[in-house]
Amino acid sequence: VSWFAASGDATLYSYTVVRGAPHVDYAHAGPYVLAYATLAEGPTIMTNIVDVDPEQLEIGQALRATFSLVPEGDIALVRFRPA
Amino acid sequence: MSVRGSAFIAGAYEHPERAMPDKTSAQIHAEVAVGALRDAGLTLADVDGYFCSSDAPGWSGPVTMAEYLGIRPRYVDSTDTGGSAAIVHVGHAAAAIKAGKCSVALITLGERARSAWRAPRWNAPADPFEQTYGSTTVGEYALAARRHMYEHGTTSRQLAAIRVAAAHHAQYNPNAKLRKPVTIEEVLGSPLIADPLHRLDCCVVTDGGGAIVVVSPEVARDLPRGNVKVMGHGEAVKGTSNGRVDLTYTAAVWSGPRAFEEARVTPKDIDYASIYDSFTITVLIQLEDLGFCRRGGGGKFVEDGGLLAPHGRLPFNTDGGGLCNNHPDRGGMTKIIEAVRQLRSEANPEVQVPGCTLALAQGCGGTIGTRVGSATLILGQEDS
Repeated sequence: VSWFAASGDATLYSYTVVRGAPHVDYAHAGPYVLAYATLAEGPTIMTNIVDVDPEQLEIGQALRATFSLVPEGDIALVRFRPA
Repeated sequence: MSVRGSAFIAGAYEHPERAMPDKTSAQIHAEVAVGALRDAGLTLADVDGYFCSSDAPGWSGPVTMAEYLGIRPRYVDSTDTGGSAAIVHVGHAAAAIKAGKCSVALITLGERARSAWRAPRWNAPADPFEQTYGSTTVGEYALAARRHMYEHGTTSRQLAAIRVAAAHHAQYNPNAKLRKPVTIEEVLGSPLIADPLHRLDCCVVTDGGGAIVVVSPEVARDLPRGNVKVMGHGEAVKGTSNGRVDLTYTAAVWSGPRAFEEARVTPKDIDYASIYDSFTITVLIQLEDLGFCRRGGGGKFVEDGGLLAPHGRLPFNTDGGGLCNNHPDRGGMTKIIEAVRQLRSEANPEVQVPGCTLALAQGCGGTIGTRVGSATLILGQEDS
């Protein structure tokens, strides 16, 4: 196993809109898209899909990585939006 | 080593209550322990093996509960595979009995999931890569459901048919949390929790408990009532394979064949099945995993009353299951208890499967959207 730079390209493996009983950290976020994205390099990772109308999502569609800064920490989350 | 015929279930007891805000977890464990031993014609003094999981109180369930119950076991096991743990325990108890390590094994479960939910310990290696994205239990099952729909054309109506069958059975169970029959339209009309799963695709959350007594053939011989034979057991775990995710099957694809091989029977021989039903999709995928239908055929299998007792293709969860009867965070125990009732012809009369000689209990712990601990148990009548 070694580190390598991924391209940021991916496809949508599966998704859901979490509406009721959200995760505690997302309690005030409103409905959000929880998903698995399959990277062009192979691995499938859990993520969120952002900047999208969930009604328009389709399994297999192309995605592109985007980074969200977490307000209270010096970290960023890798999320995806439609390519 | 095979456990086939080396142990018998002599006692089973499900706590009748579904809300117990004023009882401790230890009390619930103790009440069901006494209930199952009484059912078997035994007492706490006879117990020499004790099995429980992390729902038992204290830093070690067996150490804490042995003191509380006043027992001195020579064999203990606190295996935790989540909701399937009680089914694992029966297999382990049978193996321990066969090895001569104990002869009267008590297995207890007691959980106040409704009154005092126990938050998981978020210290697993994967947690920062999942919890960070707002992953929830129902959300992860929803991911599996959506993928199954994509690959196999499974529909929300087919998932709803599973709830309809469970609710039909629950109406005959006076202790069930939800006893009202529902229609497919009512399931589809209930609020979406994490699409495609609706509120009525989800199990109930209850305070509850249950216990099982597993004994050696020598002990069984002297007991007053008929016993249920442990025919076969299998267990397995599955994760995300470090990025090679496939949500369309569970570890039941491995635990099932192990149990069938040990029991020397096939899915066609099973008269009744308790299938873990944290969500409707949990049932559908495990039916495929266990070989009751082909991969992708689960939707068709559950349609048209396929799971209805007494005369469906495969009568399932005749107590109403976790969907309607009882799900104290962990549903494996009640899966075993209803299978025992069916084999003793003690199920509610409207849902008793005539001539039930072979039953299966299937457990699924964790979530099929990430990682699960699966266990399969095959039980038969005493002379099977």
